[in-house]
Amino acid sequence: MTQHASPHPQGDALQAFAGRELPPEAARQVERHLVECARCRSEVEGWTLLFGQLEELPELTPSAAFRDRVMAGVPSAAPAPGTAPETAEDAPPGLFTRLLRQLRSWLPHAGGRAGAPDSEGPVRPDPSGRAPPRGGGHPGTDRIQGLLEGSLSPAILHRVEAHLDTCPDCRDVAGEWRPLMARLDQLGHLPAPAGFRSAVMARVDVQAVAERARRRSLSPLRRTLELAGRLRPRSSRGWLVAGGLGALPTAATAAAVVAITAHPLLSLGGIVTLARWRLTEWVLGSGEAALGHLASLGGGIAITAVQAVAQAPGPLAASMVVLAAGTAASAWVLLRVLPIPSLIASRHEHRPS
Amino acid sequence: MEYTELDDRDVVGHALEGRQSAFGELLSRYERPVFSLVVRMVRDPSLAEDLAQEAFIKAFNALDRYDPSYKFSNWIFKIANNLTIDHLRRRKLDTVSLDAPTGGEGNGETEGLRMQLPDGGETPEEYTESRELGGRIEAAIGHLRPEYRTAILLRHVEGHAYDEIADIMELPLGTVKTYIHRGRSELKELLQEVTA
Repeated sequence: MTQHASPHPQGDALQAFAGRELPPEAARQVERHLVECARCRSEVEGWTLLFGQLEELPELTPSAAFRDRVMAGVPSAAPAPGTAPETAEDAPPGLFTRLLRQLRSWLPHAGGRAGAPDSEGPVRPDPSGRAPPRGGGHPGTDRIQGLLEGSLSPAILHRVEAHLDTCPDCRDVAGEWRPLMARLDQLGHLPAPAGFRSAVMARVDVQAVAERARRRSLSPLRRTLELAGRLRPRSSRGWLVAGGLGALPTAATAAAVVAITAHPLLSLGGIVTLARWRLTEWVLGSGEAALGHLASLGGGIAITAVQAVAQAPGPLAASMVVLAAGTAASAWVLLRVLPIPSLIASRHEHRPS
Repeated sequence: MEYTELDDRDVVGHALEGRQSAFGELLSRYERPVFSLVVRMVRDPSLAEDLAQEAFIKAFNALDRYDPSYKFSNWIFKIANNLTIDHLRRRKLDTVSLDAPTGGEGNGETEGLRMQLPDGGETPEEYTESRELGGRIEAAIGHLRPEYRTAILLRHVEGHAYDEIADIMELPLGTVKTYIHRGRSELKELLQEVTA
């Protein structure tokens, strides 16, 4: 499955995008997703094509017989009062168009859902609460609610207001919704119980929050330095442990070098060569030839460097200087924090004369 | 220090400097809205008090992680809503009945909810009718699914925009619109049933 940086738009977002009904931010998100998702692009193209075709459907004039057959078979498709002709003489081009509009209204898209539970009967404007058809027809209850709460975009608001100016049924529907919307808007806040504030503040550690916020505001370097400062030993015993830990690697390395070079049959160069052979065998044995060659080459360079350091007087001397500096630093730390002089002095003082 | 002129982000900034009075200002701004949302969700003032307090405590103790690019009101409502929804899911509280609204008169809950409805300078008859309708609306809201209830309350009581509600409820915008429209439709039906 193809992984996209952004998730697929959910619900009816693609339909709403194709119908240009998404808010700007949501539309931009969908646009960004479409750049990377062929499946959603295809779906949007499909909806765009469909909506375009629906918009361009021509007004057709069915025969009177056709109208009679439809009216006999679909009694619930009666036109809304005040907007539809009641006689065969008035019939005309509008009937088939109304049926098409009804068909369009059954297409669910953003702003309304098919099967919404507010069905009020077949002759009411947009009885099922579906979104209004494009290019005319009664606005859905969602649009009427949007009109009453002032949440419609200017273009849709203009269309709905223009429709209500000419449609008494929709004005009635708006009138039915108005009291509920008004009462909902009048719902007020309830007072918090006495002691609410003190109960909250008793369990908020203001200083801890402020301290964490201060630390978060520091640069990474300052934060690291501050962390190091917090880890700094606070006592002589702490410094002793820290100095000991710091001197340990240096002491261990020095001891190893001394032990190896002191043996009459061993030399540092011989150990390094043996290690190189073992490494090459191990890597080649794993079956990864390319990796083996690479590791052999890398290992060879490293080992050659170690050999050069071990055998050439200059690098060897430099290494020993570094080692000595590390040891000296560790010793300085130990001497600085350990009360060795005072211990020696006290021993002298307590030595029996 | 006077905080009334400052917006929420600036007040949060002062709170993060360790000023307790800034926390108090945030509380004074949002204790009523948050408590109102929660009490209308759980229909139990005592429980709502605990949940609303928990929301503030959680938010304030994590204030150093608050992102100033995000509206503080959305943040506190999101925390309160999540706590409330979690509680409702755990307890699966029964929704109130229109015939016996919100525990009856014994615990004063319904009265507590009703008494805050503004009268708006109405005549006594209108006031009585308004109170009755207000009480019925409160009870009908209690009858909605919790998700519809939250969306309706955030929209009508708090006046949040749809996208803000989607953000607070962590739902797609289209879902929030559907919740609000269906919630209103259910309210309309419930109120028609009562008045019929």
